[in-house]
Amino acid sequence: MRNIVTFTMVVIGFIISHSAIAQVQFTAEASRDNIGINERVKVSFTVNKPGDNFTPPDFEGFRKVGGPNQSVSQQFVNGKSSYELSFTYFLEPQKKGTLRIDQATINIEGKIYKTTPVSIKVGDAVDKPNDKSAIKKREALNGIHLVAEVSKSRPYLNEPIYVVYKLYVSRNTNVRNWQAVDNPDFENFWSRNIDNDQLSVKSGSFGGEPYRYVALRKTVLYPQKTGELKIKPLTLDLSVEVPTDRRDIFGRRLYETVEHRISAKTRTVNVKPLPQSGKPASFTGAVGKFNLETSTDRAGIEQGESTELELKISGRGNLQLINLPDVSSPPGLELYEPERKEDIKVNANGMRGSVTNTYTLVGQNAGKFPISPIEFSYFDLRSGSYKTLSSDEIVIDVKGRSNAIANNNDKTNEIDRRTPVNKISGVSSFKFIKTDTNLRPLGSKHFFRSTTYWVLALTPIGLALGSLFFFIFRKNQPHGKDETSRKVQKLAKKYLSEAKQNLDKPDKFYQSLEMALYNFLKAKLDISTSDITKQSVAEKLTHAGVSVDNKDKFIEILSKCERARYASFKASQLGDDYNHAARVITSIDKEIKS
Amino acid sequence: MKTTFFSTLMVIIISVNAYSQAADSLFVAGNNAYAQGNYKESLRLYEKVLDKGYMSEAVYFNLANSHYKLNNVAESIYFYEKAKKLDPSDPAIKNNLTYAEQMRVDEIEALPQPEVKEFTKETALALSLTSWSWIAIISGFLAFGSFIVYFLRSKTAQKRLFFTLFVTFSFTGLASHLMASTQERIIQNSQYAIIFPEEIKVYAEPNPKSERLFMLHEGTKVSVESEFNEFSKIKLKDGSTGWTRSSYFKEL
Repeated sequence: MRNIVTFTMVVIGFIISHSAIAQVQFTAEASRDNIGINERVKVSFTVNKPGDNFTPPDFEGFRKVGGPNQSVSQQFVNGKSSYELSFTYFLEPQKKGTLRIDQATINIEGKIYKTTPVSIKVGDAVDKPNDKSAIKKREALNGIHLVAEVSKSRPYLNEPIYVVYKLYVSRNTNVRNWQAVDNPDFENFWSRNIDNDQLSVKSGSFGGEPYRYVALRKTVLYPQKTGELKIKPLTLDLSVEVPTDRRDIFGRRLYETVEHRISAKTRTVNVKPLPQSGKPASFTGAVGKFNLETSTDRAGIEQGESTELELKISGRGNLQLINLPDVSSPPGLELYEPERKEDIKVNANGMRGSVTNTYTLVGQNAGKFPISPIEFSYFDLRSGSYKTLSSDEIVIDVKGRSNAIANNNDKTNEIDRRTPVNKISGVSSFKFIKTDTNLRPLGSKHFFRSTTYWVLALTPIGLALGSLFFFIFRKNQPHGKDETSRKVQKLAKKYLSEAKQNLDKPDKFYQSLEMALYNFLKAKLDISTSDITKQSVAEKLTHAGVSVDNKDKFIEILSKCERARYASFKASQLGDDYNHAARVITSIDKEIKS
Repeated sequence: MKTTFFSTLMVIIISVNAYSQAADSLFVAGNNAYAQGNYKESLRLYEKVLDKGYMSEAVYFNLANSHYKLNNVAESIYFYEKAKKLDPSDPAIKNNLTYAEQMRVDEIEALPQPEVKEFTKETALALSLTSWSWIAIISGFLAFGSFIVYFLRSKTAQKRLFFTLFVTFSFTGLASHLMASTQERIIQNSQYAIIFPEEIKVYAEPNPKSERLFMLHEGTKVSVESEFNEFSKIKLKDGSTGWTRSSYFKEL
């Protein structure tokens, strides 16, 4: 069509090329210079000479609704030819105020011509827009609404809510197709879209009027932050069938397909924080309704073997967002990092399913290893309170290798022979109770430091000291100062006893008696044998404090012994002399001592 | 004099025995219940022995064994420690205590001790307090005997022998007494306690608003250093200290 126009134009142009009129007119004209924002304006650029390279201005502030429509007309009136080439645009203002349509340019015979700018005043929307078909369209498009419905506007933190996007379409409009332009990212929400594969059209009402609607999309949201959270709108591009005034040959109304962009309003959700009161220590943010299960594949293992501990939390709630409670085991039981398994289904009511942590435990030492009860707290939405679940205590019984000895199983015996570990493990196994006892009153002291202890411990020391004193006393009791004096006394005794033995032999008797007396003097008076004369003996005795009587007696016995060397005495006299000597010695000894 | 003393002692021992017969039968009944695997019953019976006002390391040991069988971590460690306090040298108590200690969560490494100190400690704990006491007493008497013989004999060789024996026995007696008092000091010196709640918080100051230093778990042995209001300053084997509520532990 346009080609034909161009062709015609070119042909005509040829014909009249040389009869050109000197003046070129290139004008821009707006249909109205004062419009409402919901109205349209027609702008046409007209030139009276054929030209090339028409460049329209960029209609700033306007949206191009139609155009450019090009038209050429050539008239011959009374031999005069007139030519007109025009480009027409339909514009819709996008903002209020005075808008300017800039210059358009065209090239005519090598010269560039420009239009003058046109100003258009855009005012408030007018009730009855000028464009009839636009009215129809608007009416049609007014019958289409995209609504975001939120299931709960004041949810708790982590309480599942859903937002459903419903497209309401009025009875006299059809929607051919839809396409999401902008998928909202649900900031501060955990979200999951639940797409309906089959859209079903339902009847409902919107604003009191009967409407058809379709739930396009459902999204489950778990608010992750408290306070006012915005749900950003969903924007759809729709192909809408708009009825036109035209009818087909059968009289049926013709429909026009119009592209229409529609977006839902931004919705605000006010997220309530979970109550602070009664929050258990083990609460880590789980909201919903849960069950806690723990299980082991076997509770009794042998040293060095492993077992698995399963911690499973099932139910509904923010399963994917929760951290499972930690499991702590005694150091002798090695605990490896858990493996997390999730089995979660999401529907409009939220997540449901289970999260499982599987721990591997290896028994290092023999013994019993209790795994302290695992606590898991959650906020129960139904009752609006915290609930705490606690697992039973699990005890892993690790048997020492020694148990294999008692076992007559062939297999274990084979192992036993190879590993000499059994020998010592028997010693260190858990010991049976003691069957004997020696009960004592509570608070009774140890035997050590008791009175009995001290008595018994100090007895030998006392006895030893006692006997030591006894010995010393006995040593001091009988006589003299030193070793020599004791010997001399012994000798004196010896000689006196020798003399006693010789009582029947007068010669020997007096000899031995004299020797005894000398020895006695030696011991008592510190005189040597050479010094002994009667005078010196008498002197010494007097000096030593011996009485004159005793001294005389002593001298007398001595002289008697001397005399006996020359004269003989009767045997009867000997006994008297012996006794006499003994008496004198004893009394002198006493006197010297005192 | 001596006979009077011993007869008094015998009378005391006999009368105590007569009085403790009821407790003895409870102990035996407890043993039977334990042997049949009825640990709750044996626990009850052994506790009754304590209620009657009697104790022995065997009662504490058996009580601890019953608690161990019932998986009561803190109680079992507590009674093993009590038994150990009465007789630190008993290998069965030490052995089962290690089993019970394996049930607890905390693992605290002891500070290294000087070797000499460690050796003395080990030697002192090799025998029970009573054994050391008797060794000291018997050595004393033997030393006394040697002393007497030394005095009565006149031959030099014999004298020398018995003098050596006298010195040796005196030294043994004195050393045994010292070992016994070392053991006694070890037992008495540090006031230990066992933590009972499953998990407790230990603070830097005796007030729950102060900085939280660490957590302790059931069955851990701590030494109590001082008390303030309802808080106590505790010290761990590794030397770290902190404050916690006095109600959280039970002193040995």
